[in-house]
Amino acid sequence: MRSATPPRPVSRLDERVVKQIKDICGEKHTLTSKEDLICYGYDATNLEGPVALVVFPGTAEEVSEILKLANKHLFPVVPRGMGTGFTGGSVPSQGGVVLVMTRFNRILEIDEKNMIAVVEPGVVTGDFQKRVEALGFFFPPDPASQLYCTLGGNVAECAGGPRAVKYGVTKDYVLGLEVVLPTGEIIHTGVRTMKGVVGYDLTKLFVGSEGTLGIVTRIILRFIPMPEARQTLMVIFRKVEDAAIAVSKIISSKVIPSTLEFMDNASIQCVEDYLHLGFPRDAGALLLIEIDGDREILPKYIQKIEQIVSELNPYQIKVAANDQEAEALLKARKALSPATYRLNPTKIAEDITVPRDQIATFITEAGKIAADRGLKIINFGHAGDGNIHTSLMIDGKNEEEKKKAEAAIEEILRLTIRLGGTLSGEHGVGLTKAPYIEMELGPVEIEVMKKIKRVFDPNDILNPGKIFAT
Amino acid sequence: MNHLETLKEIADKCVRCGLCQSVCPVFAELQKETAVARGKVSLIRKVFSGDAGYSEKLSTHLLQCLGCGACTESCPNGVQADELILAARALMVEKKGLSFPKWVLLRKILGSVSLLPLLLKTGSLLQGLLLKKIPKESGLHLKFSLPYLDRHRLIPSIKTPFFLDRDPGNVEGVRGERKIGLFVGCSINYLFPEIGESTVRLLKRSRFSIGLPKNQACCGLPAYGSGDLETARSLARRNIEAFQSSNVDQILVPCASCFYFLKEGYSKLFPGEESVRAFTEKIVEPSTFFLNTIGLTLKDAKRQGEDHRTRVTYHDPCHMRRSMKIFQEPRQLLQSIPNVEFVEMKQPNRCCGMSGSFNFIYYDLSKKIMDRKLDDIEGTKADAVATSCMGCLIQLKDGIHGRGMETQTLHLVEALEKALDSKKNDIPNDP
Repeated sequence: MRSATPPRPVSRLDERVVKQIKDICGEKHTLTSKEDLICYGYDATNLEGPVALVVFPGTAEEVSEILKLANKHLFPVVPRGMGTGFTGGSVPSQGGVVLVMTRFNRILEIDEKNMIAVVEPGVVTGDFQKRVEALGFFFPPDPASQLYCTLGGNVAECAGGPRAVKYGVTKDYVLGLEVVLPTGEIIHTGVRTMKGVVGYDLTKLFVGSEGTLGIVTRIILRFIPMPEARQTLMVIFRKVEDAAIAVSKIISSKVIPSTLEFMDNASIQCVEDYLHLGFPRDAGALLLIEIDGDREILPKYIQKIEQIVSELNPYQIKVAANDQEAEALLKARKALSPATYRLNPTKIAEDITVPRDQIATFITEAGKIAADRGLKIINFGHAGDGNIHTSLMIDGKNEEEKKKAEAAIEEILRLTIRLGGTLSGEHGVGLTKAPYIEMELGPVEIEVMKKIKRVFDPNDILNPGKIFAT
Repeated sequence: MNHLETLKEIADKCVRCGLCQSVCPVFAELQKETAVARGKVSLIRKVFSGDAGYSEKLSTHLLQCLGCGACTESCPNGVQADELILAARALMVEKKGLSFPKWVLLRKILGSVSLLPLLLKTGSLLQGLLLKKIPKESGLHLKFSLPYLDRHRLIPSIKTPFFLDRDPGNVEGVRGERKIGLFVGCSINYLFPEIGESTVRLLKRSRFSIGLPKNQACCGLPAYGSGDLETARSLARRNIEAFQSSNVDQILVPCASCFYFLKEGYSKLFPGEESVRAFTEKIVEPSTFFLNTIGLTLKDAKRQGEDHRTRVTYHDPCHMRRSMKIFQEPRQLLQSIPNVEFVEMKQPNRCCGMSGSFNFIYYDLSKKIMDRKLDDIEGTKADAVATSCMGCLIQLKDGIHGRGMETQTLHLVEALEKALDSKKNDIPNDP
């Protein structure tokens, strides 16, 4: 028997339901006080939602029980890892239960012979990387938040990072999953092998589904051998166009760096304010390039890159002499995203991706769009794969500026599509990009996706309101 | 801009990226958003906007913070979460008052000149009844559990006569040398007078005159940390006055927490006051002070006799490393000691979990945090761990005893004096 649909947002639950959840997971794994609830209504965006209850389940069966209860009483369930997403994916915009997966924090198996691992979704990405690295292996996906985001979150959003240019993104490393469906069934997808084509590829369907199709409780990941050596260099350019030209030329010279990161002048200034690294304040752009592979081959690649960039008459080419120097160079990039707030208190962040040869056009055009409205724009990101984090830094309390920024964002997104790009490279749609998906997806494509959602979640209880605005 | 506006501005700067989750020692144990800076800042914001009140729960979450400053240090956006949490505790006290035990402890005992010594003197007579002696560590165990006191913990014994009641001997130095004031602090005065005596002997060795006002009091940090600004201010005043009459050039503070509070905290309690600024300028700590005096002569001795080497590691007190950015000097000092082989632990700047009353209110949590520190110390295979904060020292002694480790615990000045004694013949006494 199903109750009548309660109005959303669901900011409180019936006492009997609360008791049932406590019975399922235990009193000490359930939070209900106002102060506790406040702390689970947000992620790394500036969005917030009302929370009715927070629960920390410990097994797939507990997750299943809660989802069955949600279907019975029709309250939303919002899965959450460490709450570090950039599009509101774990924000309970329609209220309900925030289901935190951090107790699923075990690395269950590392199979060196087959180079696969079985992990739980609450494992922190960086912890897993350290574990495999100690054995001489490598798990490449490296979102900027890798020290404090979870593998489950990475799977849900299909997280990427600087290394995507050579090594791909999370989906390229997920072989199989254990998933609790919104209706409570526990299913297993994928394989423990390098190949596998039996039936539809449900694994890939769940990766990047933003917690709308199921709750992942176990992940089979593959990893690869650690490259023997790495070398990092940083090139500071006088003009932003030079950096874009360098990116195209490096890639077309058939050298694929393991990282090819870009920062524009505004980004350089922010980092300089924070870390005081001695960057020239008037530099047009900066490229951070990392190559990896056999020790013997690296000098050859470095030489080739140096040759390409020196033709562009840069300010400075700095090759890191050792690991510490390389670490110092990379530190600037990792710290950049939060440091951008030094420009202005509110950030409207996009993570568009354009074909690599369109980067220069994009940056110039987007710069014009912002300048025409007197807005501050900042561009940085994974130039190697065309994924640019373009952000407008505004004063969120200034209504007029906010309106201007919204118009500018829309124009920037249209520009992205015109250049053959996509609205989101790695952050997902969540709440923040939901209003714009029609720019990229046709009505039929959207309808197919919505049908898929209905097949999995007929009552729309799992992470409702995400991806599709209506 | 008024105080509240400033605080609001700090709180609004947090963009909730969540990075603090990767550095917060309390979060590492509890795995709850309310444990970490991002959660606490979000709560404080809701209080400021009127969407939440100064509730009991809020108080609990605010107190569940070591104040170690790891979040502030690593925040890419420069949010001073540790300061904000301290300020919120003060607002909490302003709105709701102190809890009764804290009111008694801070206002009536700590804030009084005569009551604390009197109580502790009585305590020293009674401690034999309640506690049994652990001779090896010169500490005590409870014979039974008391509220806030686990019976297995190592409690430092109260040592009478108190340091300030002892006669430090001739304190007139060489004519023309600087006169150094010594700020003792409660832990040295009542529990570890030998560290005070070590410091005095080191000063004498360098022929400094010493000023030791007997009416100095607690630095006030325990009150400040609990949000009791009233008591903190009155203690600060008393200390400033105590040293005013003794005409010292510098004031040496052996404990890192007292040092931080005297140097940084007092100017926050009395912004813009000239006499306070003059006082804080005189405040120095042992590593920098002795590095520039005794350390210089040690360096020459270092080359001689390296037969028996003691492995020593150093634990960075949060108040020294994070608040005062002093971390190279103690290492340089230890490295300059003959026969000391300095080894670094993996995370020397991770909080030991003491944090004053935190250790009493959340002893189990504090112990878990300390466990990671002990693992780290064990990993170095060091013979001794040195530090420069009395709180850290008490915590490390308890932990090392509890685990049955052989590692010695030393205050930096003790390590220094030991070295000088063992190499008496090689090292000239003159600076």
